[in-house]
Amino acid sequence: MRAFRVIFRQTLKAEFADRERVLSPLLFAMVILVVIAFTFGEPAPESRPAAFIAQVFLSLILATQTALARAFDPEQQDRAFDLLRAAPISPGSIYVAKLLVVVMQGATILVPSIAVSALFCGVSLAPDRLAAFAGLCLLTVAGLGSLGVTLAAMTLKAHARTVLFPLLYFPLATPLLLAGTQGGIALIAPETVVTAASTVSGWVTIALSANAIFLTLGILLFGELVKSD
Amino acid sequence: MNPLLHIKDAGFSYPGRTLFRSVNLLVSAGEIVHLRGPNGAGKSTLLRICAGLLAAQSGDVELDPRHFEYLPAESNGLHLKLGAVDNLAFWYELRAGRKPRVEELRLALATWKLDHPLVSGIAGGQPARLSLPAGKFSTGMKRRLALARVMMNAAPLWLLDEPVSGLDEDAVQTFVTVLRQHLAKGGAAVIVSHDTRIFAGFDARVLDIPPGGPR
Repeated sequence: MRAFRVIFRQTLKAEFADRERVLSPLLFAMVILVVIAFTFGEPAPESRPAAFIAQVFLSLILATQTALARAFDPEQQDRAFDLLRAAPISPGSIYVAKLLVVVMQGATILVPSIAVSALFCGVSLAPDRLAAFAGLCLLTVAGLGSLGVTLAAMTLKAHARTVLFPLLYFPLATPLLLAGTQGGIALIAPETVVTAASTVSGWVTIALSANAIFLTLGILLFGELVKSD
Repeated sequence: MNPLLHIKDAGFSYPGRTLFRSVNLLVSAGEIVHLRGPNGAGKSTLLRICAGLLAAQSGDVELDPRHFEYLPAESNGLHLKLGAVDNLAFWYELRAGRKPRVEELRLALATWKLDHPLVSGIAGGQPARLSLPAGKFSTGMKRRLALARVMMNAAPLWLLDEPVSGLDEDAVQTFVTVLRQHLAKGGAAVIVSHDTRIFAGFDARVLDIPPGGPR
Protein backbone atom coordinates (compact mmCIF):
# COMPACT_ATOMS: atom_id res chain seq x y z
CA MET A 1 0.00 0.00 0.00
CA ARG A 2 2.88 2.32 0.81
CA ALA A 3 4.54 1.59 -2.54
CA PHE A 4 1.26 2.37 -4.27
CA ARG A 5 0.98 5.74 -2.50
CA VAL A 6 4.59 6.67 -3.33
CA ILE A 7 4.21 5.70 -7.01
CA PHE A 8 0.84 7.41 -7.29
CA ARG A 9 2.23 10.67 -5.90
CA GLN A 10 5.24 10.57 -8.22
CA THR A 11 3.14 9.61 -11.27
CA LEU A 12 0.75 12.46 -10.52
CA LYS A 13 3.63 14.93 -10.16
CA ALA A 14 5.29 13.73 -13.36
CA GLU A 15 2.01 13.85 -15.28
CA PHE A 16 1.02 17.34 -14.23
CA ALA A 17 4.58 18.70 -14.44
CA ASP A 18 4.30 18.28 -18.20
CA ARG A 19 1.63 20.74 -19.25
CA GLU A 20 1.62 19.40 -22.78
CA ARG A 21 0.48 15.98 -21.56
CA VAL A 22 -2.48 17.49 -19.74
CA LEU A 23 -3.40 20.21 -22.19
CA SER A 24 -3.11 18.44 -25.54
CA PRO A 25 -5.88 15.84 -24.92
CA LEU A 26 -8.03 18.58 -23.41
CA LEU A 27 -7.50 20.87 -26.40
CA PHE A 28 -8.11 17.94 -28.72
CA ALA A 29 -11.48 17.34 -27.03
CA MET A 30 -12.37 21.02 -27.29
CA VAL A 31 -11.43 21.15 -30.97
CA ILE A 32 -13.68 18.16 -31.69
CA LEU A 33 -16.58 19.89 -29.97
CA VAL A 34 -16.00 23.18 -31.75
CA VAL A 35 -15.76 21.50 -35.16
CA ILE A 36 -19.00 19.60 -34.56
CA ALA A 37 -20.73 22.77 -33.37
CA PHE A 38 -19.51 24.75 -36.40
CA THR A 39 -20.52 21.99 -38.78
CA PHE A 40 -23.96 21.05 -37.48
CA GLY A 41 -24.97 24.21 -35.64
CA GLU A 42 -27.45 23.98 -32.80
CA PRO A 43 -29.42 20.72 -33.05
CA ALA A 44 -33.20 20.56 -33.25
CA PRO A 45 -34.83 20.60 -29.80
CA GLU A 46 -35.83 16.90 -29.94
CA SER A 47 -32.25 15.85 -30.87
CA ARG A 48 -30.46 17.96 -28.30
CA PRO A 49 -30.03 15.33 -25.54
CA ALA A 50 -28.76 12.73 -28.00
CA ALA A 51 -26.42 15.24 -29.68
CA PHE A 52 -25.13 16.36 -26.30
CA ILE A 53 -24.37 12.81 -25.20
CA ALA A 54 -22.81 11.88 -28.53
CA GLN A 55 -20.51 14.91 -28.43
CA VAL A 56 -19.40 14.27 -24.85
CA PHE A 57 -18.56 10.63 -25.51
CA LEU A 58 -16.96 11.29 -28.91
CA SER A 59 -14.62 13.89 -27.46
CA LEU A 60 -13.96 11.70 -24.44
CA ILE A 61 -13.07 8.51 -26.33
CA LEU A 62 -10.82 10.26 -28.85
CA ALA A 63 -9.06 12.50 -26.35
CA THR A 64 -8.49 9.75 -23.79
CA GLN A 65 -7.13 7.50 -26.55
CA THR A 66 -4.38 10.01 -27.31
CA ALA A 67 -3.56 10.25 -23.59
CA LEU A 68 -3.70 6.51 -22.92
CA ALA A 69 -1.58 5.47 -25.89
CA ARG A 70 1.34 7.30 -24.30
CA ALA A 71 0.43 6.60 -20.69
CA PHE A 72 3.91 5.37 -19.81
CA ASP A 73 5.90 8.03 -21.69
CA PRO A 74 7.08 9.92 -18.55
CA GLU A 75 8.51 6.68 -17.14
CA GLN A 76 9.93 5.59 -20.49
CA GLN A 77 11.82 8.82 -21.23
CA ASP A 78 14.88 8.00 -19.13
CA ARG A 79 13.95 4.37 -18.50
CA ALA A 80 12.65 5.03 -15.00
CA PHE A 81 10.19 2.29 -15.83
CA ASP A 82 13.05 -0.24 -15.93
CA LEU A 83 14.03 0.74 -12.41
CA LEU A 84 10.42 0.40 -11.30
CA ARG A 85 10.34 -3.09 -12.81
CA ALA A 86 13.55 -3.95 -10.96
CA ALA A 87 12.30 -2.55 -7.65
CA PRO A 88 10.88 -4.88 -4.99
CA ILE A 89 7.29 -3.73 -5.43
CA SER A 90 4.11 -5.33 -6.67
CA PRO A 91 3.46 -4.55 -10.35
CA GLY A 92 -0.19 -4.13 -9.36
CA SER A 93 0.72 -1.00 -7.40
CA ILE A 94 2.27 0.55 -10.55
CA TYR A 95 -0.87 -0.34 -12.51
CA VAL A 96 -3.36 1.05 -10.00
CA ALA A 97 -1.31 4.23 -9.46
CA LYS A 98 -1.17 4.84 -13.21
CA LEU A 99 -4.88 4.07 -13.54
CA LEU A 100 -5.85 6.60 -10.88
CA VAL A 101 -3.75 9.30 -12.54
CA VAL A 102 -5.30 8.47 -15.91
CA VAL A 103 -8.81 8.72 -14.42
CA MET A 104 -7.91 12.11 -12.94
CA GLN A 105 -6.63 13.20 -16.31
CA GLY A 106 -9.85 11.89 -17.88
CA ALA A 107 -11.83 13.97 -15.41
CA THR A 108 -9.96 17.10 -16.52
CA ILE A 109 -11.20 16.37 -20.05
CA LEU A 110 -14.68 15.32 -18.96
CA VAL A 111 -15.73 18.38 -16.98
CA PRO A 112 -15.03 20.98 -19.71
CA SER A 113 -16.40 18.61 -22.36
CA ILE A 114 -19.75 18.37 -20.57
CA ALA A 115 -19.87 22.12 -20.03
CA VAL A 116 -18.95 23.03 -23.62
CA SER A 117 -21.24 20.38 -25.16
CA ALA A 118 -24.15 21.51 -23.02
CA LEU A 119 -23.50 25.09 -24.15
CA PHE A 120 -23.24 24.23 -27.85
CA CYS A 121 -26.27 21.93 -27.78
CA GLY A 122 -28.39 24.26 -25.69
CA VAL A 123 -28.95 21.56 -23.06
CA SER A 124 -29.77 22.56 -19.55
CA LEU A 125 -29.81 19.82 -16.92
CA ALA A 126 -31.10 19.80 -13.38
CA PRO A 127 -28.19 19.49 -10.91
CA ASP A 128 -29.14 15.94 -9.89
CA ARG A 129 -29.35 14.79 -13.52
CA LEU A 130 -26.09 16.53 -14.30
CA ALA A 131 -24.35 14.87 -11.35
CA ALA A 132 -25.73 11.46 -12.32
CA PHE A 133 -24.62 11.94 -15.94
CA ALA A 134 -21.15 13.07 -14.83
CA GLY A 135 -20.94 10.00 -12.60
CA LEU A 136 -21.86 7.75 -15.50
CA CYS A 137 -19.21 9.44 -17.66
CA LEU A 138 -16.63 9.03 -14.90
CA LEU A 139 -17.48 5.35 -14.66
CA THR A 140 -16.87 5.10 -18.39
CA VAL A 141 -13.57 6.98 -18.02
CA ALA A 142 -12.49 4.57 -15.27
CA GLY A 143 -13.26 1.59 -17.51
CA LEU A 144 -11.49 3.16 -20.48
CA GLY A 145 -8.54 3.86 -18.16
CA SER A 146 -8.36 0.25 -16.92
CA LEU A 147 -8.44 -1.01 -20.47
CA GLY A 148 -6.09 1.67 -21.79
CA VAL A 149 -3.38 1.24 -19.15
CA THR A 150 -3.36 -2.53 -19.77
CA LEU A 151 -3.10 -2.01 -23.53
CA ALA A 152 -0.44 0.68 -23.07
CA ALA A 153 1.64 -1.83 -21.08
CA MET A 154 0.94 -4.51 -23.66
CA THR A 155 2.11 -2.33 -26.53
CA LEU A 156 5.09 -0.75 -24.70
CA LYS A 157 7.62 -2.72 -26.70
CA ALA A 158 5.61 -2.95 -29.92
CA HIS A 159 7.20 -1.27 -32.93
CA ALA A 160 3.82 -0.25 -34.34
CA ARG A 161 2.43 0.95 -31.02
CA THR A 162 0.59 3.96 -32.44
CA VAL A 163 -1.26 1.68 -34.88
CA LEU A 164 -1.72 -1.29 -32.59
CA PHE A 165 -3.11 0.63 -29.63
CA PRO A 166 -6.25 2.07 -31.29
CA LEU A 167 -6.83 -1.20 -33.15
CA LEU A 168 -7.16 -2.97 -29.82
CA TYR A 169 -8.62 -0.10 -27.80
CA PHE A 170 -11.65 0.93 -29.83
CA PRO A 171 -13.27 -2.52 -30.31
CA LEU A 172 -12.72 -3.46 -26.68
CA ALA A 173 -14.10 -0.12 -25.48
CA THR A 174 -17.42 -0.72 -27.27
CA PRO A 175 -19.36 -2.18 -24.30
CA LEU A 176 -18.36 0.79 -22.17
CA LEU A 177 -19.32 3.31 -24.83
CA LEU A 178 -22.62 1.57 -25.42
CA ALA A 179 -23.38 1.55 -21.70
CA GLY A 180 -22.30 5.19 -21.36
CA THR A 181 -24.27 6.56 -24.30
CA GLN A 182 -27.40 4.46 -23.80
CA GLY A 183 -27.30 5.00 -20.06
CA GLY A 184 -26.97 8.71 -20.71
CA ILE A 185 -30.00 8.72 -23.00
CA ALA A 186 -32.04 6.77 -20.45
CA LEU A 187 -30.97 9.27 -17.82
CA ILE A 188 -31.38 12.56 -19.67
CA ALA A 189 -34.07 11.82 -22.20
CA PRO A 190 -36.03 8.79 -20.94
CA GLU A 191 -38.97 9.70 -23.19
CA THR A 192 -36.89 8.83 -26.26
CA VAL A 193 -36.03 5.33 -25.01
CA VAL A 194 -37.86 2.80 -27.10
CA THR A 195 -37.35 -0.45 -25.19
CA ALA A 196 -38.29 -1.21 -21.62
CA ALA A 197 -34.89 -2.86 -21.13
CA SER A 198 -33.10 0.47 -21.55
CA THR A 199 -33.06 1.52 -17.93
CA VAL A 200 -30.31 3.54 -16.34
CA SER A 201 -29.58 0.82 -13.81
CA GLY A 202 -29.26 -1.78 -16.56
CA TRP A 203 -26.65 0.27 -18.43
CA VAL A 204 -24.84 1.16 -15.22
CA THR A 205 -24.64 -2.54 -14.42
CA ILE A 206 -23.07 -3.18 -17.81
CA ALA A 207 -20.60 -0.32 -17.27
CA LEU A 208 -19.73 -1.64 -13.80
CA SER A 209 -19.27 -5.16 -15.15
CA ALA A 210 -16.94 -3.92 -17.91
CA ASN A 211 -15.02 -1.92 -15.29
CA ALA A 212 -14.68 -4.98 -13.06
CA ILE A 213 -13.49 -7.16 -15.96
CA PHE A 214 -10.96 -4.63 -17.28
CA LEU A 215 -9.65 -3.81 -13.80
CA THR A 216 -9.27 -7.47 -12.80
CA LEU A 217 -7.58 -8.34 -16.08
CA GLY A 218 -5.31 -5.31 -15.76
CA ILE A 219 -4.15 -6.15 -12.25
CA LEU A 220 -3.66 -9.82 -13.13
CA LEU A 221 -1.92 -9.24 -16.46
CA PHE A 222 0.17 -6.16 -15.76
CA GLY A 223 2.92 -8.06 -13.95
CA GLU A 224 3.21 -10.50 -16.84
CA LEU A 225 3.22 -7.72 -19.42
CA VAL A 226 6.12 -5.83 -17.85
CA LYS A 227 8.21 -8.67 -16.47
CA SER A 228 11.62 -9.75 -17.81
CA ASP A 229 11.99 -9.49 -21.59
CA MET B 1 28.42 -15.32 4.81
CA ASN B 2 25.58 -15.40 2.27
CA PRO B 3 26.58 -14.12 -1.17
CA LEU B 4 24.82 -10.97 -2.37
CA LEU B 5 24.79 -12.26 -5.93
CA HIS B 6 25.17 -15.76 -7.31
CA ILE B 7 25.19 -16.30 -11.06
CA LYS B 8 25.17 -19.97 -11.99
CA ASP B 9 25.92 -21.08 -15.56
CA ALA B 10 24.04 -18.12 -17.05
CA GLY B 11 23.78 -17.95 -20.81
CA PHE B 12 22.13 -15.59 -23.26
CA SER B 13 21.76 -15.57 -27.03
CA TYR B 14 20.07 -13.50 -29.65
CA PRO B 15 18.81 -15.36 -32.72
CA GLY B 16 21.93 -16.49 -34.58
CA ARG B 17 24.33 -15.04 -32.03
CA THR B 18 25.47 -16.30 -28.66
CA LEU B 19 26.40 -13.45 -26.33
CA PHE B 20 27.72 -15.54 -23.48
CA ARG B 21 27.32 -18.98 -21.96
CA SER B 22 28.17 -20.58 -18.64
CA VAL B 23 28.87 -17.40 -16.74
CA ASN B 24 29.48 -18.07 -13.05
CA LEU B 25 29.96 -15.41 -10.44
CA LEU B 26 29.69 -15.23 -6.68
CA VAL B 27 29.77 -11.79 -5.08
CA SER B 28 30.01 -11.33 -1.34
CA ALA B 29 30.07 -8.29 0.94
CA GLY B 30 33.07 -6.00 0.48
CA GLU B 31 33.85 -7.24 -3.04
CA ILE B 32 34.13 -5.31 -6.25
CA VAL B 33 33.87 -7.07 -9.60
CA HIS B 34 34.91 -5.52 -12.90
CA LEU B 35 32.91 -6.98 -15.79
CA ARG B 36 35.25 -6.61 -18.75
CA GLY B 37 34.95 -7.30 -22.43
CA PRO B 38 34.75 -5.71 -25.87
CA ASN B 39 31.72 -3.80 -27.12
CA GLY B 40 28.80 -6.10 -27.76
CA ALA B 41 30.17 -8.95 -25.65
CA GLY B 42 27.08 -8.91 -23.39
CA LYS B 43 28.29 -7.12 -20.26
CA SER B 44 25.27 -4.81 -20.07
CA THR B 45 22.99 -7.72 -20.91
CA LEU B 46 24.43 -9.67 -17.99
CA LEU B 47 23.79 -6.72 -15.66
CA ARG B 48 20.20 -6.45 -16.96
CA ILE B 49 19.75 -10.14 -16.24
CA CYS B 50 21.07 -9.60 -12.71
CA ALA B 51 18.63 -6.70 -12.25
CA GLY B 52 15.74 -8.93 -13.33
CA LEU B 53 15.02 -6.96 -16.49
CA LEU B 54 16.01 -9.78 -18.81
CA ALA B 55 15.58 -13.49 -18.31
CA ALA B 56 18.67 -15.66 -18.70
CA GLN B 57 18.10 -18.34 -21.31
CA SER B 58 20.08 -20.84 -19.32
CA GLY B 59 21.39 -21.02 -15.80
CA ASP B 60 20.16 -19.07 -12.83
CA VAL B 61 20.71 -15.79 -11.01
CA GLU B 62 20.15 -15.55 -7.26
CA LEU B 63 19.70 -11.99 -6.05
CA ASP B 64 17.34 -10.49 -3.53
CA PRO B 65 15.51 -7.62 -5.28
CA ARG B 66 15.54 -5.63 -2.01
CA HIS B 67 19.32 -5.72 -1.88
CA PHE B 68 20.56 -4.03 -5.03
CA GLU B 69 20.61 -0.76 -6.92
CA TYR B 70 20.93 -0.79 -10.68
CA LEU B 71 22.29 1.97 -12.90
CA PRO B 72 21.94 1.40 -16.65
CA ALA B 73 24.56 2.66 -19.10
CA GLU B 74 22.61 4.85 -21.47
CA SER B 75 19.97 6.24 -19.13
CA ASN B 76 19.60 7.34 -15.55
CA GLY B 77 16.09 6.32 -14.54
CA LEU B 78 15.04 9.91 -13.85
CA HIS B 79 11.64 11.52 -14.17
CA LEU B 80 12.85 14.25 -16.48
CA LYS B 81 10.06 16.75 -15.78
CA LEU B 82 10.72 16.63 -12.04
CA GLY B 83 13.53 18.18 -10.05
CA ALA B 84 16.46 16.56 -8.28
CA VAL B 85 14.75 16.32 -4.90
CA ASP B 86 11.57 14.78 -6.31
CA ASN B 87 13.65 12.17 -8.11
CA LEU B 88 15.83 11.29 -5.12
CA ALA B 89 12.99 11.31 -2.62
CA PHE B 90 10.84 9.05 -4.80
CA TRP B 91 13.37 6.23 -5.12
CA TYR B 92 14.43 6.60 -1.50
CA GLU B 93 10.89 6.35 -0.18
CA LEU B 94 10.14 3.41 -2.43
CA ARG B 95 13.17 1.54 -1.11
CA ALA B 96 13.37 2.67 2.50
CA GLY B 97 9.65 2.91 3.20
CA ARG B 98 9.94 6.41 4.62
CA LYS B 99 10.47 9.91 3.32
CA PRO B 100 14.08 11.09 3.36
CA ARG B 101 15.02 13.87 5.75
CA VAL B 102 16.06 17.17 4.21
CA GLU B 103 19.53 16.64 5.68
CA GLU B 104 19.87 13.30 3.91
CA LEU B 105 18.83 14.85 0.63
CA ARG B 106 21.15 17.79 1.13
CA LEU B 107 24.11 15.51 1.91
CA ALA B 108 23.52 13.36 -1.18
CA LEU B 109 23.20 16.41 -3.41
CA ALA B 110 26.22 18.15 -1.89
CA THR B 111 28.36 15.02 -2.30
CA TRP B 112 27.65 15.14 -6.04
CA LYS B 113 27.94 18.94 -6.28
CA LEU B 114 24.25 19.30 -7.09
CA ASP B 115 23.53 21.56 -4.14
CA HIS B 116 22.91 24.80 -6.02
CA PRO B 117 19.37 25.92 -5.10
CA LEU B 118 18.33 26.05 -8.75
CA VAL B 119 19.45 22.47 -9.23
CA SER B 120 18.64 20.90 -5.89
CA GLY B 121 15.38 22.70 -5.23
CA ILE B 122 16.51 23.28 -1.62
CA ALA B 123 17.46 26.74 -0.38
CA GLY B 124 18.32 27.21 3.27
CA GLY B 125 16.51 24.06 4.33
CA GLN B 126 13.33 25.05 2.49
CA PRO B 127 12.10 24.09 -0.97
CA ALA B 128 13.36 26.70 -3.46
CA ARG B 129 10.82 28.68 -5.44
CA LEU B 130 12.51 27.75 -8.67
CA SER B 131 14.26 24.52 -9.48
CA LEU B 132 15.25 23.01 -12.76
CA PRO B 133 13.65 19.78 -13.93
CA ALA B 134 16.16 16.97 -14.38
CA GLY B 135 15.54 17.07 -18.13
CA LYS B 136 17.32 20.44 -18.22
CA PHE B 137 20.44 19.05 -16.53
CA SER B 138 23.60 18.40 -18.52
CA THR B 139 24.57 14.79 -19.27
CA GLY B 140 27.07 14.76 -16.41
CA MET B 141 24.62 16.30 -13.94
CA LYS B 142 22.00 13.70 -14.78
CA ARG B 143 24.59 11.00 -14.17
CA ARG B 144 25.57 12.55 -10.86
CA LEU B 145 21.93 12.64 -9.79
CA ALA B 146 21.55 8.97 -10.73
CA LEU B 147 24.67 8.12 -8.70
CA ALA B 148 23.31 10.16 -5.79
CA ARG B 149 20.20 7.97 -5.98
CA VAL B 150 22.32 4.80 -5.89
CA MET B 151 24.37 6.13 -2.98
CA MET B 152 21.41 7.35 -0.98
CA ASN B 153 19.37 4.17 -1.18
CA ALA B 154 22.11 2.25 0.62
CA ALA B 155 21.43 -1.14 -0.99
CA PRO B 156 24.31 -3.56 -0.27
CA LEU B 157 24.90 -4.46 -3.92
CA TRP B 158 25.43 -1.95 -6.72
CA LEU B 159 25.05 -3.04 -10.32
CA LEU B 160 26.60 -0.18 -12.27
CA ASP B 161 26.88 0.03 -16.03
CA GLU B 162 29.42 2.63 -17.16
CA PRO B 163 28.85 4.70 -14.00
CA VAL B 164 31.38 7.43 -14.81
CA SER B 165 30.31 7.95 -18.40
CA GLY B 166 29.91 11.71 -18.95
CA LEU B 167 31.42 12.66 -15.58
CA ASP B 168 34.20 15.22 -15.18
CA GLU B 169 37.43 14.38 -13.34
CA ASP B 170 36.14 15.80 -10.08
CA ALA B 171 32.98 13.69 -10.19
CA VAL B 172 35.02 10.57 -11.06
CA GLN B 173 37.02 11.14 -7.88
CA THR B 174 33.79 11.56 -5.94
CA PHE B 175 32.60 8.26 -7.36
CA VAL B 176 35.78 6.52 -6.25
CA THR B 177 35.42 7.97 -2.75
CA VAL B 178 31.76 6.98 -2.47
CA LEU B 179 32.52 3.49 -3.79
CA ARG B 180 35.29 3.08 -1.19
CA GLN B 181 32.87 4.10 1.58
CA HIS B 182 30.27 1.67 0.24
CA LEU B 183 32.74 -1.24 0.27
CA ALA B 184 34.00 -0.29 3.73
CA LYS B 185 30.43 -0.52 5.03
CA GLY B 186 30.17 -4.10 3.74
CA GLY B 187 28.66 -3.26 0.37
CA ALA B 188 29.64 -4.84 -2.93
CA ALA B 189 29.63 -3.68 -6.54
CA VAL B 190 29.57 -5.22 -9.98
CA ILE B 191 30.73 -2.62 -12.44
CA VAL B 192 30.90 -2.48 -16.22
CA SER B 193 33.32 0.24 -17.25
CA HIS B 194 35.75 0.89 -20.06
CA ASP B 195 37.30 3.57 -17.87
CA THR B 196 39.69 1.44 -15.81
CA ARG B 197 40.96 4.40 -13.73
CA ILE B 198 38.11 3.90 -11.29
CA PHE B 199 39.43 0.48 -10.29
CA ALA B 200 42.87 1.80 -9.34
CA GLY B 201 43.37 1.40 -5.61
CA PHE B 202 40.73 -1.33 -5.35
CA ASP B 203 41.34 -5.03 -5.22
CA ALA B 204 38.82 -5.59 -8.00
CA ARG B 205 38.09 -9.07 -9.28
CA VAL B 206 37.85 -9.21 -13.07
CA LEU B 207 35.28 -11.26 -14.96
CA ASP B 208 36.09 -11.28 -18.64
CA ILE B 209 33.20 -11.62 -21.05
CA PRO B 210 34.82 -12.21 -24.42
CA PRO B 211 32.66 -12.52 -27.54
CA GLY B 212 30.80 -15.82 -27.33
CA GLY B 213 31.12 -16.02 -23.55
CA PRO B 214 33.82 -16.54 -20.92
CA ARG B 215 36.45 -19.16 -21.64
